[in-house]
Amino acid sequence: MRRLAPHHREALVQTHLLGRPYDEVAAELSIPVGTLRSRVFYAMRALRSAMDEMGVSL
Amino acid sequence: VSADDEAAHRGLRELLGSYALGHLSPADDDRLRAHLDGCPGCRAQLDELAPLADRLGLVDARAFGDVPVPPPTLGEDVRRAVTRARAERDADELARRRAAAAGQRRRRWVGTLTAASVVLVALIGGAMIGRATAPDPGRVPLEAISMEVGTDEDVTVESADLVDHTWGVELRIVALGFDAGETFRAEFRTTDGRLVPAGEFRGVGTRTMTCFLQSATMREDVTQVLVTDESGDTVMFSDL
Repeated sequence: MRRLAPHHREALVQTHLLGRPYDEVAAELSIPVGTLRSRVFYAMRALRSAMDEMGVSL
Repeated sequence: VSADDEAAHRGLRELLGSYALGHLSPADDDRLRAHLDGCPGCRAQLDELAPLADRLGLVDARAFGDVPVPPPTLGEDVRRAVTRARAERDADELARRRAAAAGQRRRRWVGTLTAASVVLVALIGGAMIGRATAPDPGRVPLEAISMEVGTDEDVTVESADLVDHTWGVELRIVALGFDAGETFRAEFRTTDGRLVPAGEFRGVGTRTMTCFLQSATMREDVTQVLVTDESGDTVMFSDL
């Protein structure tokens, strides 16, 4: 997680780890909900790449 | 594939993360599932992302709860600040030119008087600037050390510090109670066990004494600070 870009990590932390509603998080970050969903997607892709690089099997 | 189709496809693909984490509304969920049926590329992406959901479930949110997020207006704030600073600088420049022009006019009338004033102001200003910018030899990084005074000694240490100079080490002691008139010797013990002299001082009895004692030994080589009296007895010491 620490290898992710701050805005990607923030998207995952707020929406998934803290379980906050997308509209609330998006408003706080002053971005559209669609952008937040997109950040979650790219954060997960980056996370997958990082785990592959680290040799973590899923 | 048209540009609209491409944008629509990208929009659906970017839902895959939220879908894999179970965040989508039922309507979006159905929409994406219908898309997945006909899109092998998105299905492959989903296969890669889906296993992360379980892993993320094991992550402790508290470890990342304080992720610093720059305020959304940061960029705009910086731009405004730069614009404001630039405007102020331009205004200052204009004012400076006007003042210079006005000064030139005045000098025609009071040339001699102004010259005398400038010399006076320069002298005072120079002295003030010199005083303000002169290096303060007293401000050096001090390393406080704890001096242990021998049991039968009547010495009180108010402060003891080492100064790590480029040319050696210095011991600064503020203390009282050294027998008046008696000579005391300060030494540094080095890593190889030698005692290196740092200087001597004369006791002034109950008056507080400030003493700077120096040696060419480097700070990193000093393992002990020692002060002895004329008969060689230890008055105080500090193991470093």
